[in-house]
Amino acid sequence: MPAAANPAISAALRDELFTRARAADYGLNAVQFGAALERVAKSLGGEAQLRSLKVEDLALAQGCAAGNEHAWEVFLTRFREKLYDAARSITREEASARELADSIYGELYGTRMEDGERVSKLASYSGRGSLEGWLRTVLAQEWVNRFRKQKRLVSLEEQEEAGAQFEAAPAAPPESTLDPRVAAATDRALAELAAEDRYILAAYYLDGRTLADVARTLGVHESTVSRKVERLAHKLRKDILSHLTKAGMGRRQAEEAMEVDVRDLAVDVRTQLKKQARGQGLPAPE
Amino acid sequence: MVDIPNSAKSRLRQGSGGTSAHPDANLLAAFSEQALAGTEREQVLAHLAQCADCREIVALSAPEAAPPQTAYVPRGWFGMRPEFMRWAVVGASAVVVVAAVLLVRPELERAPVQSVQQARNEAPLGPQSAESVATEAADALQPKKDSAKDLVVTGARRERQVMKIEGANTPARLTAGLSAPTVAPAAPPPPPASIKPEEEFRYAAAPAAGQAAGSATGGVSGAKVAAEPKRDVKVGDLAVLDSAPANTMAVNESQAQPTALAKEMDAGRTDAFADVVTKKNEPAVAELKAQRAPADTASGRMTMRATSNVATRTWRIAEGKLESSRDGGKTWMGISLPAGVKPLTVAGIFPRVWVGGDDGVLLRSDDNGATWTRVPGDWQGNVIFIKFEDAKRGELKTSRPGETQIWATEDGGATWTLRARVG
Repeated sequence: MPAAANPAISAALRDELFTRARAADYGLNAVQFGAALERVAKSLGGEAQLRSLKVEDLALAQGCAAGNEHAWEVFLTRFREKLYDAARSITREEASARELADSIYGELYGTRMEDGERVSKLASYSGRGSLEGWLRTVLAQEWVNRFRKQKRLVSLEEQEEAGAQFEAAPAAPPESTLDPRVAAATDRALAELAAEDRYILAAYYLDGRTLADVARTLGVHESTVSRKVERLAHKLRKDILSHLTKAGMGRRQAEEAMEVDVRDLAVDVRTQLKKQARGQGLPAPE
Repeated sequence: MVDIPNSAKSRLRQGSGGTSAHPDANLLAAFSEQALAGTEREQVLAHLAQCADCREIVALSAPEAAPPQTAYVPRGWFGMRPEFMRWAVVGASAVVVVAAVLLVRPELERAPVQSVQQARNEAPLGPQSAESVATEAADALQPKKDSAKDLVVTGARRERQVMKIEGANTPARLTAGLSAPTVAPAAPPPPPASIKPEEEFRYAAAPAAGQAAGSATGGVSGAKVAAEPKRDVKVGDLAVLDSAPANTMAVNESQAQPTALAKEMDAGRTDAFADVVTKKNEPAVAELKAQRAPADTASGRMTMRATSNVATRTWRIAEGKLESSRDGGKTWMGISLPAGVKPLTVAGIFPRVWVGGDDGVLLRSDDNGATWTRVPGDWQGNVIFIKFEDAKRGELKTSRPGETQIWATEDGGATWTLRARVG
């Protein structure tokens, strides 16, 4: 096959990966498969990492995107049930799982047309991770981006029809009311942490993930994450305190300032009005 | 676990320095599988530390952890050391096997008498008397010298297949005895030979509109393509076939009794994806909404119920196109036919679907429309009506200016005989 057809990668590498991927089984020739490899190589900044790609999965995805019957048979055999299972584990509910999986199928097969050609989402799979993992991620993205937002809207509409009255949404917590010195000290302490440490803290303390969940996403043992969380919590507290005291704040004051929950600073108008009314001997407002 | 200061939670929640572009599914999947390294991994982690949505996507897409397997290690059980335990288990297993063999041999020797007695004790099965049933069972029990290869065990229970005992010395007898009273059903008969004497023209459904012609794969070239693997008829399916109405005119959906398979389908075992791909109907997935569609019995449209071993199928011709429903008519999907065929009538009788069209076209599919075989015949005119009473007996009607013909089949469509000519 002419190397010029895929100038970004060497013909030898392309042919090696083409053979390894058994791309011909899915109706692809070396040039077509090479084009897919080129796209991935561009995102990787070179062809050095192409050998680490899941080339078999890549060939299957490209074959499906091209409409190859055999590729779809293989894809169905391998992934049909897994897709439904993944949707069930994401939504925790059968009906939503089916709806979620069905919504993905059309995109995978290519119900969208561009310039008269069917566009399949499978064409965007790059082989960096496994095809199964990519499918799970696509499902999760769809769930987070579309379905949850829709469910919130539908739920509101249903409740309105049922006659529920809604209060105005509470004002967002006034984050900006955090003492600037505390904010700066905290930002500095967080910036000194590695990205992975910040991710662990966010996942554990903000999202409420279990240690096991966090460990699974990082590919480490749960006990490793447990020790790390403990260590990071102590370190963060100590570092923020250190920065605040260096900024001139007293230790006790710094400790109190660190623990202020900015959500408590939101003005409670009703309570304020009641206090004022009592002070003036007036009946308290309803 | 020690908590972090509220100020840290607040700043983490707010995210410092803004949020970078969301990683695509390839990056997130690679991250979850620890396939990223170095700077790239750091960049993804930095984004995840700030973006709650992406963190949730990563958490949701992580494969479920396998339940921890705990190995049971018997220690000091009844005071025995583990190495002795191992031999004790082996010895106990040997004792069980020997005991089973000793028990089985007398059982097998008594089996014929017991089975006949069992038959006598069975409740009457309709017009046949218990005595005749017992006789039938006794006859069936005589080992045939040229018995079939498949292992079967005689039983006189009419709801199961009546089968015969293998030769006396085959190990299969022991197995049968050990597993009594379970019954090993005979292997299903091979699929019927191709239809004689007509010549068959097999071709795949035409590519759906919009599919790129001249794609590198060549698309559907006209060679036979089986989009779905054929499923062998199993005993359970036959049982369902026996009980299900063979050819129901679904005039009113509420009147049709759901078969066992329909209930299974209703429980959510539909397979939208296979239909999308194999039938090449791109909008099908988007259109799969649970809207109950009234049965349409207007002229030229008939809804026939056909059973498959996956889900109940309903068929119809709507606006000149063949359509199939897997949910009793709530939603419909277009089914591709060979190029140039204009469908006029459809009949589904498990496991077959028949489509009649203009210019004498009669098509048969054994895989719910994935592939079609044209059945030539001597009729003239358009095939405007077709129905099957059961798997064997069917009738079709053709029409041309000045004449209507009625043809019938007694062998499942293998041969057709002219029954009437009007006009």
